[in-house]
Order: sequence, then structure tokens, then C-alpha cells
Amino acid sequence: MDTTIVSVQDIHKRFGENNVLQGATISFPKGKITAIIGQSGTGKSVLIKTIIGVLTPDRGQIFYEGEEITAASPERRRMIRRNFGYLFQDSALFDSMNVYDNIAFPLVETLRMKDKRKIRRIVEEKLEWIGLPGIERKLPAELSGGMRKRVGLARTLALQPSVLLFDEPTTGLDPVLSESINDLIVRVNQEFGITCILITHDIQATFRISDYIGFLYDGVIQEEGIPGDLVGAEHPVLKKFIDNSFSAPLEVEVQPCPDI
Amino acid sequence: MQESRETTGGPKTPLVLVPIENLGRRVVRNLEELGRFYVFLGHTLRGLFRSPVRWRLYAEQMERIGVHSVAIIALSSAAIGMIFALQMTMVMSMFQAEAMVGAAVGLTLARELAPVVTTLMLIAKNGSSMTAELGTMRVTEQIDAMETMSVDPIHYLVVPRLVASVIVFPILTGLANLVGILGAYLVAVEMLGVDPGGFVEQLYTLVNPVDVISGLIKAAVMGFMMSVICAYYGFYSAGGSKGVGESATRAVVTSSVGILIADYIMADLMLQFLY
Ligand SMILES: Nc1ncnc2c1ncn2[C@@H]1O[C@H](COP(=O)(O)OP(=O)(O)OP(=O)(O)O)[C@@H](O)[C@H]1O
Ligand SMILES: [Mg+2]
Repeated sequence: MDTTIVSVQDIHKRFGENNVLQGATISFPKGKITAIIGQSGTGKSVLIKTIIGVLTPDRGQIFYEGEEITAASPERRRMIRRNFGYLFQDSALFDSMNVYDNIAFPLVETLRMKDKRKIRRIVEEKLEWIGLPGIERKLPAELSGGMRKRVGLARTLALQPSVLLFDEPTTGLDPVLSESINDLIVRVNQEFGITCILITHDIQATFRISDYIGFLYDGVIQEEGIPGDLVGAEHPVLKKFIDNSFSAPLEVEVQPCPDI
Repeated sequence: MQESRETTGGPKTPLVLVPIENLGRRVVRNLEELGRFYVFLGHTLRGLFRSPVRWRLYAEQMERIGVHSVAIIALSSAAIGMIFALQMTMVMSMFQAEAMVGAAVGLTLARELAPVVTTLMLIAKNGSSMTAELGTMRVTEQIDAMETMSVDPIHYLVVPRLVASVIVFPILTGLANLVGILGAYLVAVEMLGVDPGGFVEQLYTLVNPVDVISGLIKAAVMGFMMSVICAYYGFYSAGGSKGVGESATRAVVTSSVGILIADYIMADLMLQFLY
């Protein structure tokens, strides 16, 4: 198989009595798109939050390029995590700042760039790239959900991550917008060679765009493999997932409307 | 987390011990909360001495807390000064000591009323919005987003609010002193006919700089307390917009009660060692 860039080993995480992750293990291939699928509330978000370090696992290890993040010093951990970008489920844009300041934020605060002209150039370039030039002065509240997602993506890309994690990037968007976000993910992956890890409920899109898929259920990765392998998987819940997503298109019977 | 007793697999507690167990849980939870508060406080205080110093954010917060509160502080302290002068003139006239009104009002304003009224107004106006703002940032994952970009959210969000509060509270308290005494003068001298010379003279002889300064020190301490408490409740909000609302209420109640207790302790100490 391809080289691994990130791997999680035997991750456990509980919240009070709620045992969310109970030994999740998966390796993410470098430069590829990997999707994690599973039912609502199984802990997909928790899993990737432990990877980027918003949550600390109770037990288990996380590796980046062979180095154990979970064993590193806090200082080193922060350094390693600079390689990670994360697109939050609801974009998490700073709502008191306009689009320009949102995208400039990591440049100014994380990279401590001082050169105003350079910052402006990068922000404009990112906005161009996501297909939304000229919205610098808008506030997040003035944007649609799809636009916010894309601005969130631009903000994450400003730090040039090696690994980009997406939490349900297309949930709540109409099919056309979902498609455009999926295209952006593929472009992020192909144009910049960024490893993408995404959580999604959109099984059809998953099978189309991802190179590798992990199925999370009951706190453990039950099945994993390339899309072709997963189609024939045994797990009943996964089977249901796949069958429901690829069933024949709905036949709509048109009945003559009776006169009232 | 809300754990239900039915689903836990542990041994059943005898019925008579349930209240004790619940009490124990409450104590543990409060201790945990207190511990988290002190960790937060420590992190904030260390943040005061860490670079980068974000002057722009300091200025922004000072403008929000300070400039935008001038009118309300002036209005409320004028009212306090006027009401107080009205009552004091009645009392003092019983002893034919109306000239003392200026000193009495000035002294209480400087030592107690100006810092306390200013702080309570600022808690209502800025403390609650501070909690709501940070709480919203927490529940919409903006604080997490900052962390994923390797920016320390306490340093970026809390430290500027703390610095601004500690600077602005004494300034507004000074303003409250001035406006309050003007209001008192207006009522006592212009309306109730107290001799202006006596009013001013007694004010000058009995109110010393140390009285004013002690009030300003109190205001700085209260600004510190308000910003840390309100920021804390916002920073650890949970449970969506309802949770943010609850945090704001708790922040206002806790910081109001907290500063009144602190005021009593400071007043006691200052009476013993300062005046
Ligand atoms: N910070 C937290 N504190 C307490 N419980 C949490 C926390 N984060 C997640 N949980 C709990 O962990 C479980 C898994 O949540 P998670 O958000 O990972 O689900 P998910 O698989 O991402 O679901 P969805 O597809 O709906 O987003 C839920 O029961 C949730 O209540
Ligand atoms: Mg989720």
C-alpha cells in the first residue's frame, strides 16, 4: 500500500458514561483522499478532533510521518500540528471579522507575517482560487452556507497544510453546491498534493471521490479499504448504508389530478 | 455530562445514602470547577507577559468598554450624587451642619459609591456581553478554530479584555466622582440653598487624595475580577445558545456578588491600614 502520513492506533475516548471511541485504528495514505463514514453520533467528529488536537484521547497513539504526536512535548506537538488544517462542520469563521480578516488571521497571527502587501496578495489569491473574488469586505453573516464553507477552506489553505481534515463538508448544502465543494476537495488534493481526510454522510460522493474509506461503528473502525473492496463488505450496517445510497432512482408515478 | 444513575453498572447505593452521595458529587463538581477557574486565571496572568502584545486589540476593547460607557456612567453617577445630596441635606440640616453635605457625599463617592456603581453598571453593560460573545465563539467552534491555527485563544481573546478593564474601570470611576459631586452641588447648593463656600471648603478639607486613590484601586481590582469571571463563563460555555444565555446570567450574578464581597474586604482593610 501507499505510504502512510497519519495513523491512529487504538484510540479511546469517553465523555462521562458515554464511551464514544473504543479502540479506533486506521492509517491514512499520503496524498490521497480518505473518507470516514458512519452513522450520526458514532464519534466521527470526535475521532478527527483527536487527530488535530482539539480533544485529547484517553488512550491510544496518533502518528504523523512516523512520529508519535501523543508522546511529543506540547511545544513539539504544536509544531507538528501546524501541518494540519481543519475545516469545521459549520466553518467556524470569526463572525466579528470580515472575510479578508478571516483569511488574513492565520497569516498575521500564526505565521506572524508583517508585509501588508504580501498578505493582501495571498488573500486575494485564495479568494480567487475558491471562486469568490471580491467578497473581502463581507461579514460571515452575509454569506450563504456554501460560501462560508469555501471561505473556511481558503482560511485553512492559507497555512499550506499537508493534511486537511473536513467535517461533513457538504451536509446541509443543495446538490449543486455539494458537487462544487466535492470538486474543491479533489482540486485541493490534486493541485496541492494535500492529503484529505473527510467525514461525510454522502455515500455516493464518497465512493466517487475518495481513494480510501473507513467505516466507523460502535467506536471502532469496522471495515476499511479502497471503494471497490467496501462494496462487497459484510457488515450489515455498512451494507445498508451502501444499498440505500445506490438504490435505483425513485420512480415517481404521475397520477391525474381529480377535479374538485 | 449528565450521567443517569440507572444506566451505571456500579453497585447500588442504599437509599439513605443517596443524599450524601449527591452532596459528594456536588462538592467534587464545584471543586473541579474551581480548579478549572484557577488554571484559566493562571493562564491569563501568564499571558499578560507573553508576546505578541496586541496593542490594536487593547485599544479596541478599551474603546468598547470605556468610550461607549461614558454616557451611562455619567448619568447614573449624577443621579446617585443628586439623590445622596438630597437625603444628606435633610439629615445634616437636623444638626445645622448643611455645609458638611459636600464632604459627606464626596467621601462616600470617592471611597465606595463611585467604584461600586461604576462596576455594577459595567457588569450589566459589558460583563454580560463579554460572556455572550466568548460563549458564542465557543459554541460555534471559533475558539477551537483558533487553537487549530496554533493561536492561543486566551492570549488573543481574554488578555486584551482584562487589560482594558483594569485600565478603564478606574478612569470611569474618576469620571463618576466628578459628575457625582457636580450633581450633589446642583441639588444641595442650587436647589436646597446650602452655602456654596461651605460646601466646597468642607469637601476640600475632608476628602483627601488617599480617599480618591483608594476608590480607584478598588475599581481596578473590580475590573480585574469582572473581566476574568465573565470571560471564564463565556470561555467554557456549552450547550448552544441556551447555554450561552445561562452562562451570561451566571457571570453577571457571580461577578456582582463577587465584587460586593471583595469591596467589603477591601473597605475593611483600607479602614484599618490606609485612611
Ligand atoms: N465535547 C464533548 N463533550 C461531551 N460529549 C461529546 C463531546 N463531543 C462529542 N460528544 C459526544 O460524542 C458522541 C459522538 O459525537 P460526534 O460529534 O463525534 O458524532 P458524529 O459521528 O460526528 O455525528 P454526526 O454525523 O451527527 O456529526 C455524541 O454522543 C456526542 O454527544
Ligand atoms: Mg460530526
